[in-house]
Amino acid sequence: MDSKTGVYICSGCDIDQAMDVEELAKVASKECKVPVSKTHPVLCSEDGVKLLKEDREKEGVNRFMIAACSQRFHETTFDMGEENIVVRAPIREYVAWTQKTRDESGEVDEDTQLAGEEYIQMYTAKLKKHGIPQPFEQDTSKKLLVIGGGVSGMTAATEAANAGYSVDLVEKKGHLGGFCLDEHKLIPSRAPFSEPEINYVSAIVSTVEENKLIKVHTSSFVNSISGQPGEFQVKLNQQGKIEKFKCGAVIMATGSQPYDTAKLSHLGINYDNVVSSAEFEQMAKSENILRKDGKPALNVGFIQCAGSRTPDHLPYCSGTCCMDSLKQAAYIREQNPEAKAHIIYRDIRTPGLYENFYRSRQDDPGVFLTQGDVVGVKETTDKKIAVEVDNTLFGEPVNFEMDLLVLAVGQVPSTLSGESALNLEYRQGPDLPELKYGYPDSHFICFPYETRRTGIYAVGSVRQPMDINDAKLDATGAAMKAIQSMELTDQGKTVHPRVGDQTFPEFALSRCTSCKRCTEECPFGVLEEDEKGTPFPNAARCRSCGVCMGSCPVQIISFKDSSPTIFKEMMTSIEMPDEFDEKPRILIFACENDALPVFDMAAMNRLKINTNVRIMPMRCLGGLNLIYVTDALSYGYDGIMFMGCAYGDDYQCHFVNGSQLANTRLSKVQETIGRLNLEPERVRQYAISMNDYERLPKIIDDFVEELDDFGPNPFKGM
Amino acid sequence: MTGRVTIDADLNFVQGLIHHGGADLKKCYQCSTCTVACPLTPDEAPFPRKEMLWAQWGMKDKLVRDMDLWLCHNCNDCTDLCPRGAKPGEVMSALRNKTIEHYSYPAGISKSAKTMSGNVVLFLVPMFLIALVIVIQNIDNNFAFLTAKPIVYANMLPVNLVDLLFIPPALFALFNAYKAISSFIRGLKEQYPPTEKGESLLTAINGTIKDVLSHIEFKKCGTNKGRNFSHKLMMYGFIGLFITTNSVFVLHWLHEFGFDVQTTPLPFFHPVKILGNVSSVAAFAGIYLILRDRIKNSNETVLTLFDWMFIGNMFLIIVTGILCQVFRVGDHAYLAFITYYIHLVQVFYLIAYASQTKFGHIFYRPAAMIYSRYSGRNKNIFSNL
Amino acid sequence: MIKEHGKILVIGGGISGITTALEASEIGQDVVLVEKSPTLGGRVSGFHQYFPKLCPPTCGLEINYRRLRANPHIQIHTNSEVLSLSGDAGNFKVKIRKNPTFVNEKCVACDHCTAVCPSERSNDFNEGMNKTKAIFLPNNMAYPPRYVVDRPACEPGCSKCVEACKYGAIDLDMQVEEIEIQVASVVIATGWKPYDAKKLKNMGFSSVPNVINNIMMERISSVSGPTKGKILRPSDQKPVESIAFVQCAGSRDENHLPYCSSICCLGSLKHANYVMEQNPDAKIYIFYIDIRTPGKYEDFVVKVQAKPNVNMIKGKVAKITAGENGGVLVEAENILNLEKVRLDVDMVVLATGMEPNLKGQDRIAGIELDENGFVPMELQQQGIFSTGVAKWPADVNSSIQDSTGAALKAIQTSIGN
Repeated sequence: MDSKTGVYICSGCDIDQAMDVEELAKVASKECKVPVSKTHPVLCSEDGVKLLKEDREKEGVNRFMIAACSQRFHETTFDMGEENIVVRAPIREYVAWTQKTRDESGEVDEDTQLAGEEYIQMYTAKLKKHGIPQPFEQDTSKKLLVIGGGVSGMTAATEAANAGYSVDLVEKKGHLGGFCLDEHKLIPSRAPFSEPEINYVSAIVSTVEENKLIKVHTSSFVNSISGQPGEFQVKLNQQGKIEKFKCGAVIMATGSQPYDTAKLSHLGINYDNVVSSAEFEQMAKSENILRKDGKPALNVGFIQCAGSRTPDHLPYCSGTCCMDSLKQAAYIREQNPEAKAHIIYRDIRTPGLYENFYRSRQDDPGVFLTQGDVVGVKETTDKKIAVEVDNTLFGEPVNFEMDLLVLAVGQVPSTLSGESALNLEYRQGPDLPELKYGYPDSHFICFPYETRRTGIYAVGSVRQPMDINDAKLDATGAAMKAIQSMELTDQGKTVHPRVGDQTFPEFALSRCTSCKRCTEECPFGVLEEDEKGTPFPNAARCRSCGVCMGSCPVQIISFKDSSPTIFKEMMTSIEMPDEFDEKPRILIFACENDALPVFDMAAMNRLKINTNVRIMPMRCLGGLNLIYVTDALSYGYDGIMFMGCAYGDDYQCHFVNGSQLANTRLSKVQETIGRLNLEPERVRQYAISMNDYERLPKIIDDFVEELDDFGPNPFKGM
Repeated sequence: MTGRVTIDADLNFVQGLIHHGGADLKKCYQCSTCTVACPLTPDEAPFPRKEMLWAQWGMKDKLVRDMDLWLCHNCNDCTDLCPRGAKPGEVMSALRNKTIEHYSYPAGISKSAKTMSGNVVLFLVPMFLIALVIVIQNIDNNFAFLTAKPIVYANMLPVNLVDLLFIPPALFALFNAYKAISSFIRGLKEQYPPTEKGESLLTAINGTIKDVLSHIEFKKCGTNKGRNFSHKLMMYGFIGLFITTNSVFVLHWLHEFGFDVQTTPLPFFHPVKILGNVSSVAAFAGIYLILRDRIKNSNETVLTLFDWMFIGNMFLIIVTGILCQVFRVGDHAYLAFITYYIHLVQVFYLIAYASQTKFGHIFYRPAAMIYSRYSGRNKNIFSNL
Repeated sequence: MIKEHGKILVIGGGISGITTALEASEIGQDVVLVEKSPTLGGRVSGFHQYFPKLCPPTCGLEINYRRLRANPHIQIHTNSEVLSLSGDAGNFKVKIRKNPTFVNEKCVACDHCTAVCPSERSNDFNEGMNKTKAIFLPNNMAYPPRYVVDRPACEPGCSKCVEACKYGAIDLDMQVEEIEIQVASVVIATGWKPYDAKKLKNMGFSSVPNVINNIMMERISSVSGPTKGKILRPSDQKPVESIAFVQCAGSRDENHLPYCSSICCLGSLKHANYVMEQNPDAKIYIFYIDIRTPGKYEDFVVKVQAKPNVNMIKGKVAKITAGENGGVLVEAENILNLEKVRLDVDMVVLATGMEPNLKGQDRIAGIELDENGFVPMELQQQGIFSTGVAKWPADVNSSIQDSTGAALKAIQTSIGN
């Protein structure tokens, strides 16, 4: 279909107080040579939208450039239907509200007007190169694979099945139930949260086994998973027998194991009467709380944080041990009213209504609690255990003599067991990439389920330290996300965070040099490669971040709405003022999620932004291709600011390492800039968050001021 | 730091405390709100948070040697703010009772004072003794005192005999108190060795007397503000009555030795009589206010039998004392003599078991207060206010 | 893909409600989202940063609002209240009252109205620490991005804003509207409010100057707050050089909130970071009973604690009085040293606990509460679910996790399982 472009300029919201909109319309028709160029006093009004729709119907306009407010407003108002493309030029925010307005005599400011005109040119250039998004197509399986038959896995399977999805549940052991099945009792799961609860895990096992939508594979493990969401090919090994099937999404619920007690010799684990919390649980289960010599253990001590919260062991808090030890203290008192339980803690951690459980254990006269740091554990001649504790509530170093000492051992994710549970046949490796301590990346606060392998969700204590109640909630959420992934994949759309996006990377493979950078840098392991090293995309794994596009040294990767070509068209669409004009031009590439809305915020607060900058949105700074830098500098731009999220340990990039990669790439380009006899400082990356709008004008002004010292880009006009 | 202390949690002791006034002590989670709320605690090793911990762990040795228990005046500011409802004020009170029991000499009496049956025995002694003396004294005249007019209590029990009945138990009580307090002070010395910041013994005693008489500590209380007044009334009332009784004793013996002085029954405007009556009213008012507050706060404070016996004992002494006079003047012979008998029994209980009942605080508290000044404990050395 | 089935009602448009609505709707489920205030976003929209990443909540909200804008399955009623719920799973009748904002969807947020508005009102978004005009945008991130009129704050008879609005967006005669809808299942995500610190009689809140609560601290630290993000003490706008954080202000206290609010430790550690970022030399004191930073949050406390000017003191502050020159005097026992401490600091932040919004007068007929005002699942009839802090004191991350699961539970009911 022929494309016909219309440019529509709104004069409302004080846009006409800053610019001569009729002049803008003229620029559109003359400079940009668009067939339709109109202005309207309130484009978002019924009348305005009617104008657009009439042009669509009568004039056949199918590409709309709306020069009005930012995309964050009226997104659906200006939706012109699937076959038609809409590009927004936010002249309200970037110009009208942040630049000089008309002076007292009503004259527009020259620079402001120019900014408006240049934005019209840039965004019209973009519109012209913009393609129509196409969903990918595949034959989607909507079956869920759950790996791990513990409480998390069983819950995820049940919840998905209850929503009508069939599930294959794989368990390594000969039976379902996992770690919690063997527990004597469980921590309370409901109000009043005051007493240990009868172990109900076997009831969950029965529910799962009776569910017709759940197929249980015990004594099995995943040999391999290949393919992509919606069409994962699973090979299952059941005692040597290989079973193959297809599934749409995977939940990894392989749980955790107690920390290796062999490493806790400093806490006396090698003494006869020192046991781990897991061992103690079994002693209590068989009503056998005894010393090794068979005498009843009347004085039982608990050392909290055995391994946890200790830099050389587990730096994190395992989150469950306080509740577990309180529960085990209850066993002691239940089974022998003469026996005493002593808990030595660093901080008692019973969040929320768990406080009730702490309170009820405290009420028991035979449960003794103190804060303290254990500095020594020794065996006495009569095989008692002497525990030396500093920093106690007693205000002095103390010593306890125990018949039996229980170490509240922390949990370690199963990912550190040495075996892969997923065995992904992915170029980037068989497992979910690790964030820290064996727990998988990533852990966004707002989006806890996003792993770096699309369609594969970690859940339960393999995801982060958690107890059984949290695991059940977590599993339900993960089931929701897995279902969502299968459904969106079925529609050929991407999942979070660009939910519903239908633009995917396209590869002009004839020019590919097989450098493998894209396959290596993709944060989501989307790309496989053949023997020659040519990339092969798996669209359903893709989250549309554009990191691959940024990585490609020969620029063969593009999206329908974002590509090196589009950026180049945009930056070269304006007429570069020459070096004598004293109108430097600075490009700002801003990440759409965080950095770009900052300009909206600045605009809403009517902060003045330097008139020489031009803003270009990017989906993520990871899409930064070095060609943008050379293109811009050689066209005569005086400087470039890349604005994106913070990176490092507390990275905020929703595509994990986009801004980090941008930084790496920029560090490489500095040399090239130097070779062009330009100052490397002309190009800089900034970590900008939504909260930075107040300091934004100064950041830009400082940069522009610095550029002043360098003088104009000598490439201007060349 | 000296060596490590080995702690052996004493479950029985904890259970004992729970049953005797410290019902909620286990609820404490050691936030130390109580210590901050307390208007009386010193800054260094303050109370009552540490006492709560010791109580929870059943650390009897620490507790019975803890002078801070006695620096506490049961303001209940701590209990009021306690986020866990552990009632530190009550626990401190229970611990004081436990201390009295611990040092009680002879050991059995204090234990008896805690139980109903024990108290029956403790009461049977004066009931029997006094009744016996009355019977022996009056059997020959066929209990003529009942019909004689006007009513004269000495007719039933001459003052000489009263003295005979009460001086030995008073001496007995003083001896017991001496035994108990001396071991108490030995304990304090071990736990709080005197520091160079201490006052001389004389200054310490002098200061303590001033503190007690002025009720300066009570005045700092927030929650139980009223107790400053009611306890003061009761204390001065009893001091007044103590002076009255001793004055009567002196007057009697002066008279016996031939001096021309008025003896009982004293006329209404005799200074001693006035002192007695005013003191009775003050003591009655004090005890009434205390009882009223206790009953009003009954859901917040826990009173053990040990506490009730003491309050009841005081109350009965005052009430019977007043009624004795009322019935005497009103000429109700039977009522008057029965009331007088009860009065004597109650007074006997108060005096004879003084160091073993809750009344014992009149020994322990001043001892601790004096020692705290003497040892230098009571200094707010960290205070920058 | 979900096709024929009933709608889900989500009550509460904070982060939990938004998440539930989005997660359910993105597989095609129809959702009705009801929010009491004029904008979505709830509590988190007032936060400066999230722990432990120290990233702005606006970032996640931005993504979620983008998801909302693009989503045809969610119907949003802001400034609306659910009056009652009746019926059974699969067929609940819901009465909703839509309170007038006096501004319609024609609003373009051009701000001309505030320029002419003669009246001011206390800015609840900034906890009353500054003022807005009677017509105002609830906050920078308001969704929908539309102004609101606080009618009681208007000057009687004034209609200057109506005249100033070129877009016909202001209608001062807008009326209350009651609607009844039918839904298959319900998710309660009504969230929380900070416990009223005035009830803590020993904490000096509102009686001692420069004692603020943790929500006020968020606003003071936030660039959209009353001081544009500069941490100044309220009485004299002096930059804060010493600050004390009082943990468990109301929480873990039978006289107030018997439960642990589970976020306040991390919140205060985060606030310590806010202060250090502006003034690395500021003296920071955190008074606590137990530091509760479960799981990987432990890294956060380790990091903050390692800073030279951060002092963690075990012992609850139980007395707060006015100090010298506008300072605040806090008193506690340093338990591990067995001595009382008194500090005169520039400002005190009470780490007030979370109280469920439904507690007290804001009950909704048809929803069962426990004695604390939370909405436990086991007390609800089939088809009614709760999530986030309406259910249990939780941080943002757990609330979102919970809300994702709640979406699935609600879907199960709405498809009849």
